[in-house]
Amino acid sequence: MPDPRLHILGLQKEKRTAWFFVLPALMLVVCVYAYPIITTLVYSVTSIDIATYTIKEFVGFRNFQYIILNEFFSPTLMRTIYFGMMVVVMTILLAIGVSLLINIDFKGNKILRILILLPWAVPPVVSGVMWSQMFQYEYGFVNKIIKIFGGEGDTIWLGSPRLALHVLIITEIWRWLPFATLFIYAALQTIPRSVIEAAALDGAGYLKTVKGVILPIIFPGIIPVAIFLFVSAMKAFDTIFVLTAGGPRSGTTTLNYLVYLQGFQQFKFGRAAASAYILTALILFVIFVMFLLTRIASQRREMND
Amino acid sequence: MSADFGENSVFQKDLSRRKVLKVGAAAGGLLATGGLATLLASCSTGTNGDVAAPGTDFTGELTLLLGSHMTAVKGLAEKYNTLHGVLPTVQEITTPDLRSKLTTSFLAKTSPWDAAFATSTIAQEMGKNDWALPTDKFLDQSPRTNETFLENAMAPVNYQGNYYGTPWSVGAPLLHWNKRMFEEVGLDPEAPNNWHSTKNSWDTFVEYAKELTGMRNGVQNYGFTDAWAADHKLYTFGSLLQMHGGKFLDEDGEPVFDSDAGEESIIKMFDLLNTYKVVDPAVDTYTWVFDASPGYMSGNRGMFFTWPFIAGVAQDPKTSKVVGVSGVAPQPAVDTSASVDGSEYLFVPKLASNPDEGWRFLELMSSKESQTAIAATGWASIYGDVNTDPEMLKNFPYYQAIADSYQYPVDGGFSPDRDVWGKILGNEISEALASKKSAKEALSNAKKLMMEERKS
Repeated sequence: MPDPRLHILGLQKEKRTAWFFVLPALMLVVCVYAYPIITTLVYSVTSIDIATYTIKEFVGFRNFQYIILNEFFSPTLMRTIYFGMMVVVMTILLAIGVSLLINIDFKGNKILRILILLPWAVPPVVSGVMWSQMFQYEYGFVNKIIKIFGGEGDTIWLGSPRLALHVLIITEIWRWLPFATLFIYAALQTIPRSVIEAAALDGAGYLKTVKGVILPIIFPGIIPVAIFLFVSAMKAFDTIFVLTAGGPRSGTTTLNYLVYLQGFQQFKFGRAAASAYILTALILFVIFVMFLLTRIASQRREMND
Repeated sequence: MSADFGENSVFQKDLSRRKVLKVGAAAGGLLATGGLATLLASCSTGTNGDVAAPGTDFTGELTLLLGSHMTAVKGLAEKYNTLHGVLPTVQEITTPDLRSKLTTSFLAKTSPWDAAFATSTIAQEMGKNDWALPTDKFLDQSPRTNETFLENAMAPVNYQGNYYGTPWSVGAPLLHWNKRMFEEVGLDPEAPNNWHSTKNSWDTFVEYAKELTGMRNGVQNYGFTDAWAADHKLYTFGSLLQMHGGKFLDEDGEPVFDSDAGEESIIKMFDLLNTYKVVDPAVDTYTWVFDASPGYMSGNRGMFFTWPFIAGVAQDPKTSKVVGVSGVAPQPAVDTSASVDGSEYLFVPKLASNPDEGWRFLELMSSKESQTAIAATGWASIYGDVNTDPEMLKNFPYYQAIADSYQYPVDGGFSPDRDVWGKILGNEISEALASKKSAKEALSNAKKLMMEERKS
């Protein structure tokens, strides 16, 4: 019988070797991620001299306090959450619809699948310019269509904070729809045909099958998409920069755009770093809530089963 | 870096400051008789003696950062190559992106450019942050120094007694109008020519805008257009502010725009937009001239407050339907006419690798010959006499309007933090224009936020 101590020693050696191989990659990751994370944290509690780009003084939580007490913070936070949630919910609903559509066998299905991916290939700045022209109030495509259908067609889409925010939401949905569709379509492919056929045999119509069979099966696959979409919406910058520059009247300034304004318009890098941390906290909080909801949903499902 | 210039440099002519001032005064007097009375004066020189001087360390490399619209300056690159055997590398940028581009580079302690473009709103910021080399010694040693410089056009680059830029072209927003539209509604198409010298002609301007607004031939026409998004509206607000005798900042750089003049200015803008509805209703979404200009060029906007060069663009049949019918004059008056200087500059960054090449390019750009070439492309020269040369005026009659506009106040409240408080004030004025705040509240809040920003 082999000595068990030798086995333990062998395992330890194996572990050491594993660490030896993993360490360089780990160090690279730590350096790449840890440096900006720590630097941003340091900046968030300091005041930076922009002429020399050095730390002027330690200010504690004064940057956070300034941001939170600022009259623009609360509306910006609410706007950011609304923007993110709208992008997530609308993109996923549309992506489910589109995925179900391209999942049906019909002539031209393959071409449709390629066409759906096209917006993903368009650079965000180009799509921003394109959408700004489409929503231009006098010569824009959207107002022209409204006019054709008998409407006034004189809406100044980017002139009011509310309308402009929704134009941005539409742009972001258009941008991320191919990605979400691709994921959900992939999830649909995992459903065995026999399950759908069984539902049909049980007398379930198409809508009932979607609601009662398909959606519950693909639901776990939707959560990572939702998280990805939310994080992407929180990081939206290029479309805002091109379409509205945060206006009108700061009506499309999200937390991420605020970080840019504070950092590269006002050159308050300490404040920008603090805003970036607030944004990160918000993202983490929403991801946590999403995970929690998923867990509750799956527990309920298990109980029902 | 040596204080002397190369043997072949035109700086060898080296005029003394005293001589220059004498020439400047004489030239100023001469030009005054030509209709440029008060606008031309010699620049005051800096108080800081410890400023960089152009030298002769020519490295054979030159990189320029120019605005995408600065075709005329870009054209000088080839000439620089012919003269000095150095073909400059030219990078281009649109004006709205300029500040971010410059500051991010300078914060990273690099300057890929040996001479860079600056607008009047950011020039002082470059100086205050020690990112730009003072231009004083260059101005002192240049043969064209102070000869016919527009004093007002140098104010935006003057920070604490030193200059931080050399203009390549000068100008402030003017009134452009579509004479054909005026005639169509029975208005005198030449009337706006005299508004700048007529007290309270603003009221006439409004009456004309009302007449010009309405549906004609199935097209909605507006009496007036402009770019009022974000802080761009400060050109019109600033013009109105000064028309009422107000100012953005006092002598110490403290905000004083929250005055009766300020309130009156917002009310006038509000009335145009909301009470009389004579303005293109999308003005609040136009971030710069090229957002607003298509409406004017399409021939269904009666009047337009904007940059002088648009008068040249309006004569291009490829882009304009108002060829031959676009008039231009200084803006109307309340107590006086006024505008906000929007001259543009080139400066040598402190971190430039080849600063002497940068200075030498500025020297070329500032020469009378180059300035004449620039003026021949529709961008007003920095020399009054080049602009008002009869031949030049024949091709570019609006140069006279530019000269005339500098007879009136053109202060834009230029300070090192102009861009920051400009955005605050612009935002607050938008609130007032959208009826979310009164003019008084908007201005008070802008002042409060500006002070908080300065303290923080």
